[in-house]
Amino acid sequence: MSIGTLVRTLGLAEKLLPDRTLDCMSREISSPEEQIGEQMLEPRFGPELDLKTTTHNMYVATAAYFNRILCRHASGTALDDWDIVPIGIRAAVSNVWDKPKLRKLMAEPLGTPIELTMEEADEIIRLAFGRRADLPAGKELVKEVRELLGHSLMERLGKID
Amino acid sequence: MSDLYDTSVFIDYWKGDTAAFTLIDSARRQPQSASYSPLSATELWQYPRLGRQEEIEYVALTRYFLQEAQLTTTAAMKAGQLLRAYSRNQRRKLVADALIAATAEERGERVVSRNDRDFRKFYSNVASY
Repeated sequence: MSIGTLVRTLGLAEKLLPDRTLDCMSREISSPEEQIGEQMLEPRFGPELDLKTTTHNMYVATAAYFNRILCRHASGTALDDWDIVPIGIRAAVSNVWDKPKLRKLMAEPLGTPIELTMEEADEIIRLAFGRRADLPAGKELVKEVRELLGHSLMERLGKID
Repeated sequence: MSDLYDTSVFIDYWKGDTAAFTLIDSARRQPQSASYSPLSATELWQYPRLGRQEEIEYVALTRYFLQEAQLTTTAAMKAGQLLRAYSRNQRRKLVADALIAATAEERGERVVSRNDRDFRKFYSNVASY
């Protein structure tokens, strides 16, 4: 049963670049399990802050939330009203990474001191969500690292066991 | 009572985990309402796949929105005592958990982690997400 359409963008970092139209991939949501919770129908940060559609008079939920884009007609909220259309999206505002200050910080080596304003820090954190989907799950990575760290510490202490 | 976010929260947020999003979003809305252990920075920065952008993101979060839960001598001694009950091999695996748990206990905070089972060996006020 077709319930609606989930439109996925090509990548969080890309889609937030200013003035850049991106293609989206759309696919049918084929089972009730794939229905999207009500909270996802509301733009988390508001379309005026993040993204606007350029076609079909649609609203677009925030890019940073759940790392995917949802589209619906301005008039409709039910999943049944969702359109099955590929859309172009355009970032409404430039983001913090485009600022010369951040470009300069990025070019500096690891460990170079970092000074930010609260607003910059807030936007950086917001955009960071889902940016490294390639990482192992936190639980696995932490377990592995803790064993290494513990081994290093306890090897020395263990000698006086 | 406030929370101490374990390292897994940061990784899972980068990864796109919605539960981790809720935790970090809460810290953004109420700066300084949660804390982190500096041990998390060591754990993250020994990982070669994290680079300058992640460093800037981590600093943005920890310096501006979270409290630093410093490791004190008292907490370190407590962690050492807690570890006595375990074999040498187990102590290797659990030393960081014991240090973070003792830090949270000293501060009266709840540890929030995906590795909650290990933390519960040392401290009862632990939550998964």
